[in-house]
Amino acid sequence: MQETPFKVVVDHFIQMEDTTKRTELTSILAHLFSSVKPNEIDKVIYLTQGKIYPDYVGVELGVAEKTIIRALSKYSGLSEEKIEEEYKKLGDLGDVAKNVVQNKKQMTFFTQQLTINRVYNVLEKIAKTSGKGSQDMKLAYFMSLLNDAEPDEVKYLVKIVLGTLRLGVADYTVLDALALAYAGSKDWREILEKAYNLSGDLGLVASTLALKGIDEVKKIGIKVGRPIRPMLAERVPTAEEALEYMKNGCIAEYKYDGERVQVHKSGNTVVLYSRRLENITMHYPDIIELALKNINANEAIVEGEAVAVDPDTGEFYPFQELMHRRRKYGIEEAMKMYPVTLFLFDIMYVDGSQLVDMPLTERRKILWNTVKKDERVQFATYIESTDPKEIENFMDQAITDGCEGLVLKDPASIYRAGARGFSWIKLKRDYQGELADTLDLVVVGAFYGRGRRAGTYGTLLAAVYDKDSDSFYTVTKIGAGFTDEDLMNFPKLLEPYKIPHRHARVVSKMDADVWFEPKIVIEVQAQEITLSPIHTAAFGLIKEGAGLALRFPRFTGKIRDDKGPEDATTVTELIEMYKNQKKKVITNGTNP
Amino acid sequence: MFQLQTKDVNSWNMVIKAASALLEEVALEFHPDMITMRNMDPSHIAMLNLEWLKQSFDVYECDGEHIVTLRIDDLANIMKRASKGELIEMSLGEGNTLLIKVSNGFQREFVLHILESSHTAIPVPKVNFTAKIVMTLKGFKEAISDIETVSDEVNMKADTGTFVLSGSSEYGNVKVSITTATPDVKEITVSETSSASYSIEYIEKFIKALSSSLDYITIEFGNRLPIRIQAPLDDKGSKLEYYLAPRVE
Repeated sequence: MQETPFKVVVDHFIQMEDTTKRTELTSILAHLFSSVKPNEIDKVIYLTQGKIYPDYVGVELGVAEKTIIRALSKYSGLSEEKIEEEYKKLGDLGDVAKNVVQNKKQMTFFTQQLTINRVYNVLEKIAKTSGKGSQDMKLAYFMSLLNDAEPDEVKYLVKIVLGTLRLGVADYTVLDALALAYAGSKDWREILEKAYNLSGDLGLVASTLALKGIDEVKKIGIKVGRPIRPMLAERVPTAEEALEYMKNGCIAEYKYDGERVQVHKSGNTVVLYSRRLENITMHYPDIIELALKNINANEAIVEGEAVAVDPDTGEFYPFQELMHRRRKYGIEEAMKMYPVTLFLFDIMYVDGSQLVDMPLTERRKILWNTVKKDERVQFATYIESTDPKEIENFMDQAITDGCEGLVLKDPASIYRAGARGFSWIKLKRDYQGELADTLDLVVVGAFYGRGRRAGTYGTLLAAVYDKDSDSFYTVTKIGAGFTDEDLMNFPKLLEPYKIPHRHARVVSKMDADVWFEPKIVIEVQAQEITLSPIHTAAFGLIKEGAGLALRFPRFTGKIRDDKGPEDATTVTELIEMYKNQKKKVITNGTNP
Repeated sequence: MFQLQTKDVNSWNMVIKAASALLEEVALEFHPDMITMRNMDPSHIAMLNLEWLKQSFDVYECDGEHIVTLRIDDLANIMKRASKGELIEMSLGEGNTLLIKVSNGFQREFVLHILESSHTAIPVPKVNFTAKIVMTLKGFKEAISDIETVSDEVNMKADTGTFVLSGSSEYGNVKVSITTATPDVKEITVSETSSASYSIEYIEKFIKALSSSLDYITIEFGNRLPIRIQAPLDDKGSKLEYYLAPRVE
């Protein structure tokens, strides 16, 4: 079969760059698809989106701007400085390239017409070249294309290798154009989209359609190792509003402030994908181990949120701490400092069965039966409720626990890959408080620690003082901010005040492992004061069914020997502080 | 099958260095009478041509045509283990491999996987060179280094008894004149006044790979024609040649 010249692609690129109308863009793209051979269409799609593989493959061309400048210099005989000057003027190396190739200086032994296949094959070689001297080799490969290219071809080649090709061709535009090009009926569009959502690979969908027809596209399903486009949630401001969409009851889950992870296990291999389908396996060696240990199936795809958790206390770290894991080097150390716990909430595939079309309640049962729960692998905390008050209180608790909010799910809903709909609804806060002052809290109880804190206290239960009732009301559990020395000293310090049951002047809904007479006052810093149904400070005073609590509390290192328990921060002061918190608008995160 | 034995570590190093400056993979072709290697760099600007004759080896037996494609780095790593004067033996191993033995006191055996070949035979360019200069490698290297001080391109001009290399840029210009009287020069033969320009970077890719123990090299070119630089591997006729396409003046 005759190969299609690369020029055909470039001519369409030029038209696409000229248009501002989406419908026109789609029809140009459709025309391009019908102008190339069926076995070239996947390559054309990748190139149109400025890549050579679907994102999940994780292969990048990795060509430096400097390399292109060198190539253009060699090709034209102009100095690199001169080309950089032109680059500053025009702002785009592709345009510079188009201009400079008019003066070709270096001759070659032979020329060959550029075809789509040849361009694609050379780009693949460029991507696969790595290590010492690789930029030189990449340059040589790139030169091999330059030498045979027309000025416009050069312009787009440069844009492709540098990743600056911005034709504005979104995934959905490609799907529309495919349906158009292959003159399918309206419902083809939906079939194509479903295949894409389950495979995450537009090239695969297109070449299946072009080479084998729509019936084969219908058969494209989930394959372990190939990421599924994640199901997304709509957002509404209140629980009440959200519940209007939940006709079949409601499962409210913690929306963890971590990284959404799709875990693919096949035999002894585990691959992890981010929400944007990037391969993030290398960042989480601990999740790989956990998946191998806890997933009780040969093949499975499960989904959850990876959250950095303090190994000694079980408390969550803020999201920023987790981001220490997204690094290229020092992964081992980061793993030790910020171990993650995986909170699973869905399963899409297990041992030959595709589960996405089953209702959520069924999928959850399968998830619970397939995965063994332990300290590091857990299921997302949830309640089943259709009472807006109960859900709001649960939301307050989620926030206090360091989560972003809740995701409400319709128990009868299927897993709609790639779709944002109202069967999943996220509840988030609009504002986050910022606490300027520290608080002086009374230690009233403690919980045993684990890990490095096994045998000592992991967290302390702390309270504020209320003058009117002369009682202490719990406001937080503190695990962060303790040095090794603090950990050794605290048990000794608290030992004289240990009592066998809760002190009569302490009001608590929590059952501590150890109780103390309210005596020791410590200084605590926190990110903000939030509502919580499980702490008793100011209970019912701000909101029915909720007290006040601290989010991300931290011991400052100061023991306030100078203060008696009755000198600690009072409930009245706490309410004042809650009201005076600076409110900062939370910008919409990328997480669903 | 084929097998060979040689103690010429030096030549192997030259061949490998020259190839690795241009390529990631090489295809060595084993024929009954010689080893050849014809590889063009991906940009089609330069080409290597190796002709390593049977008589240059201590032992050379080959019963047909065998193409052995290797990653040049893999071969280089093994050859680095061989010191001057050590015996190198090569033969085909089991399961599409190349067996390399290096021995002096004790024997080392390396097995290299042969790559799937995408190699297509390329012909040696037929060029009617009009100028031929035989001079020392050292002298030629010096002249190129002189030109490089101002330019990344060298113009070569040959006339009866003279060979002039020059270069210019916005920074200035430089000229190196060589005649038959120059001690480094053995021969200047010119059938017509010849002039052409070449990329210094590409010339250096080759001459830097050549062993400093090499005496004379042969340089041939013509008006706006490719240049051929020929380095003898020994005095038995084996040679490594480099072709480089000219630049437009």
